Amino acid sequence: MFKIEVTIKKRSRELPYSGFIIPLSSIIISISISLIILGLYGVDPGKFFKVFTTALISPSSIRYAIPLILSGVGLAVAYKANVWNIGAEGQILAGALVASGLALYYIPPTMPHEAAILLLYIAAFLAGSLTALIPAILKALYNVNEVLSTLMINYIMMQIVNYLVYGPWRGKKEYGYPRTDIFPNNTILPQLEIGGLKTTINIPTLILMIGSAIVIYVILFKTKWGYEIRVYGLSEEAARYGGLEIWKIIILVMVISGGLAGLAGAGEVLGVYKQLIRAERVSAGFGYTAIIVAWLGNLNPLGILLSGYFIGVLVSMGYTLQIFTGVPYGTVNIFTGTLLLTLISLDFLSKYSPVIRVRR
Amino acid sequence: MNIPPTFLNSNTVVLMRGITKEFYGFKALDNVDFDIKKGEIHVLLGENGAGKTTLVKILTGVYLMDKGEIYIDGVKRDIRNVGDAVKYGISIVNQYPQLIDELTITENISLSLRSLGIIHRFNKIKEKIIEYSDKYSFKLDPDKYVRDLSFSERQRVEILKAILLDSKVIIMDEPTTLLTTWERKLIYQFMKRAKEEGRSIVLITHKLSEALEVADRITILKKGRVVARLNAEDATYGKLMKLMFDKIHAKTVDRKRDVDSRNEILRIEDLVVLDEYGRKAVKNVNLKLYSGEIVGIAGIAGNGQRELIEAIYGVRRREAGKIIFLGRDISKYNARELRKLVGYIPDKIPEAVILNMPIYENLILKKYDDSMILRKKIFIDYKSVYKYSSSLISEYNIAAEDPGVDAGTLSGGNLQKLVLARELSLDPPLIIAVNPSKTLDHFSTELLHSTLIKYRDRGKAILLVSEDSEEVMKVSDRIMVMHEGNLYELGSKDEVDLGLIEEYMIRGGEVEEVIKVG
Amino acid sequence: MISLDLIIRAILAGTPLLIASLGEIYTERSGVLNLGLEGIFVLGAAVSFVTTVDSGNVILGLIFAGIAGGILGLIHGIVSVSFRGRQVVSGLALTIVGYGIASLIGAKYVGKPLPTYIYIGDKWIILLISELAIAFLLWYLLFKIKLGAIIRSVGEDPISAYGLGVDVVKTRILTTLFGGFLGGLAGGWYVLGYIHIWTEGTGMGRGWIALAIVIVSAWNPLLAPIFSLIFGGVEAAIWRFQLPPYNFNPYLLGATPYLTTLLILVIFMATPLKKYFRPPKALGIPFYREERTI
Repeated sequence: MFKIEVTIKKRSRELPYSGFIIPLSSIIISISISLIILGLYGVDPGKFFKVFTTALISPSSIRYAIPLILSGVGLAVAYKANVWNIGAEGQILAGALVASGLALYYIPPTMPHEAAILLLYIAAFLAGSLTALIPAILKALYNVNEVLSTLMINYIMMQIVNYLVYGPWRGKKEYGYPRTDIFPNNTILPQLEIGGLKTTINIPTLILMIGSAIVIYVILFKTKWGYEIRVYGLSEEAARYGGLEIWKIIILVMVISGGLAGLAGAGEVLGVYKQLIRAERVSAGFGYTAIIVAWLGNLNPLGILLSGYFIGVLVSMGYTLQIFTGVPYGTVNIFTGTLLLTLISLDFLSKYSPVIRVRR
Repeated sequence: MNIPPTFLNSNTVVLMRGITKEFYGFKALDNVDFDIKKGEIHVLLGENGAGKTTLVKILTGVYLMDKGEIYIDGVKRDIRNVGDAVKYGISIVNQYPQLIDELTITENISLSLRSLGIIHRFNKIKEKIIEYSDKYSFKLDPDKYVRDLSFSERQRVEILKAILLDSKVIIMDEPTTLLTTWERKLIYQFMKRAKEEGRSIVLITHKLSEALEVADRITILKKGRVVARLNAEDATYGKLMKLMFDKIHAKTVDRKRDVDSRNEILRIEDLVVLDEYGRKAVKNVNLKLYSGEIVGIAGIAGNGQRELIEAIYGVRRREAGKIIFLGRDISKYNARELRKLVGYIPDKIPEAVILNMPIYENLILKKYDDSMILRKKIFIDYKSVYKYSSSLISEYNIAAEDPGVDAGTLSGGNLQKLVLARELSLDPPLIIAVNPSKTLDHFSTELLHSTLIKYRDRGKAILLVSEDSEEVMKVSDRIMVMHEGNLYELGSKDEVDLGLIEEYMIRGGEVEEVIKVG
Repeated sequence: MISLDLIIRAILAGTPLLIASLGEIYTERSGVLNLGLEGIFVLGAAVSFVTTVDSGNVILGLIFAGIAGGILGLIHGIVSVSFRGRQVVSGLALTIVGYGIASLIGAKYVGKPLPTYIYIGDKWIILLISELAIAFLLWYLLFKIKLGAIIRSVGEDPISAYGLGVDVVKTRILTTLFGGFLGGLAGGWYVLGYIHIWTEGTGMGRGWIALAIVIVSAWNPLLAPIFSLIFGGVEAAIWRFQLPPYNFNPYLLGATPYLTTLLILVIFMATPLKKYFRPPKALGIPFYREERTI
């Protein structure tokens, strides 16, 4: 009898070009798997590709990419430090909530447009940061698992936003719908026009998104703070023995992470909806999808610009599919989830090579 | 040296022929022949690094040999993992028992018994454990958790495991080094009974007296080769000495200490440190360390050494007492400052090296916030880091393609060099080294020892903490032993012998009373 | 205020949480953290609904829900144990996949009535006793026979366990499969035995709470029923407080299970209680066996 034995050896270097090959082949594999599942469900692959290619050049893909990239870049900072912030959803909502509250009730209509927007962005950043600060402090002080604490805060934030839009903040001119009134003009973000047509892409948040990706890239890979973040992320023991101040790292990454998600939230309500709506619709799971964006971009902010756009295309495709084929939007999750699974499996093969021996 | 035909007969249970094994270009075993007969105690004798452990690790499937053949009961066999060895009736009793702390004795033993079904309720196996424990007077409670066992009790668990596996060949790796006289007798007694039961025992040791006391046959290894094979009747102390050593042990370390100009580097007064469970791990310890000396602290793992070092290095809180480093209390230093002044060479590589980071980033772990490396106070100048790393790599002879490869791809010895390069390049007044010989092969250990000695000769202080009494004896100027949280100063190298160190390691303060009364 | 009615509701609401957390205790005891439990629960809910609507058989519904969960558990096992993917990422990815498949297969069934379901009624005492019996049985298997010793050994010290001859990879994959199966079954019970309806998103959030129950139960099957009952009780209380004479806001009340989870976690971690529960030492740490010793 022969027995096949598989052992695993670490490669001395990663496979060449694995930074491109891995995401690309994961995309191909997950598209195939999703096509099979959708095919079983009676969706014509031809139609799927048509919707997909349309989405590739649709402005709405960029519109969805904005919150995904902003939050994804923030999450990458936390994940580089091995801090598992799953709370982007709640942090987006916190940014949206504070921006809405200020826009509706505190910013005087006479305030100059630029000043109002700057103020709202700052407030949204702080709101997201503070929301992330709670789990950060609990982790730094008591080692409370941040996966669970950030998740719980997501649900709590959802309920708070819904309480407000169904209750005290419900708009007077909205015929009883669960949403606030439209914000005053001086707080609404300008939208991009293509060929005279308004899109839902808002310019200031788009600029913030690109700017933050560049700044975070520099921080992570060129500065001493980034070095500390990466050391702690790869080996907590080495960080402790090297004398790094771990609690500061945890707080720093969570504040950045939450802040950027907060900006994304402000962009959504001030730049797209122009009012606060139900929690499930403000962020529509972007906080979770951003986790995939971050990993698909290999936790590199410049890679995340690409991966965020790609997932933006998928999200936009999901909505189109729902309208034209009746396949529920949630189906996109099959695609994105499989993508992430194949990605981390292939990552293993780039770092290790299987050694197969046949023995008697 | 091939096995002469007279040694081969129908009684041969195991025959190993032409075994060769290399580690990183260092020949640990060179064409070694070794045989085991039924019902004998076969002593494998040799100095540290002679290749004894490597040889038995090949027989038990832990290492794969590069060349050679193994015959069991006359049939050629392929031993590729621990399971294969067990199948052929070969077990090893490790020097450092490998058991699971959070499981009971019964549970630990049952894990290795393949014959027990997974729904086994431990009742039968528990009876057997009690039976054999009584038979060999092992005094083990099968329901006790391994975490609550002493070193010697853990060893007895491993022996019971080998017996319950119904092993024909039981290999014992330096089993008696860290045992009290009573515990040692127990082991000898066990070996004799096992022999009567028809089992074969391979005893690995470096103690000549032990070999003479129990052996039926003796094989002597030196530098990876067999230098002699003899029957016990033919062996005398003098003969074995001659075969084992080329010349009578010279002092390995020449000391060049300028006693008058030495400075106090570290002073510890009445230090108390707690462990994770809030127990006193370090009990009112006092210690002085001067420039230009190596102080060795010997001790069996888990006697508070770890907590002591961590307190000095600033990663563990003190409960009480003082630690004065360079004339200042260590609480006055901030963490980064202290790390730069104390070099630390741990036995656990992950404490010092980030395996998934490139070498050049590992080399700046203690330097990344220096003004030398930073531009505009926050940006790391990676170009100069790369250059700096390349020069360290060639200076310390680290076998790496270039500074950009991940540290995790380096071998154990090279990882150690990487740590040395980083720590010594900061020129710290104090170096703490933990168990260098436990994790490294012979070759790398020698290199580390000589590096430490050279560093001491530059007027630096070194604190060596080790479970290996010989290592402490060989390298240190002053010798101390830690036992159950107490630190005993035994004196300078010339005043102490190996036996005394080991007595203290086992019994601690009780030794003093024995000496006083006796 | 604490009426019998409320206690019965707490038991009913706590049952699916208990089933899911018991499975996850086994998974985590072997050293694998499965955050995919959330998606497994949601998928189990959808599968049981669809199967039961089509077949009219609740047993079939439960079995299929368990199988669906088991498949996701197996995938998590392969990705995170064999391929050493980060357990957190793999788990989250599975949760997302679980959500996706649930909404796809359930889409055409939204609003359909269940032809049959599990009716507990006044047999709640039997339910309670069987829950306790199952928890006891799982505790017994984990602590009193060799199977349990194997599972715990790979969760505490996989390297020594390997040295003692345990197949670490196989053990971890099988416990993850088992945890997935129970997670799916829990989702099925949630629909068939508790809420009796299904819409997109049914069951969301329950998996996270089950994960929290695992922690506060100190990875002990005997403690899981207590905390499941507490969380079930919170859910029952929400229902009660929405009604007159209390009339609390349903949204603010809706936040209480999550707030409670957070508070209990903090209480356990920030007080001396922390000493009483030690997570498996190798939880979340991949097992390496390379031909080299460091």
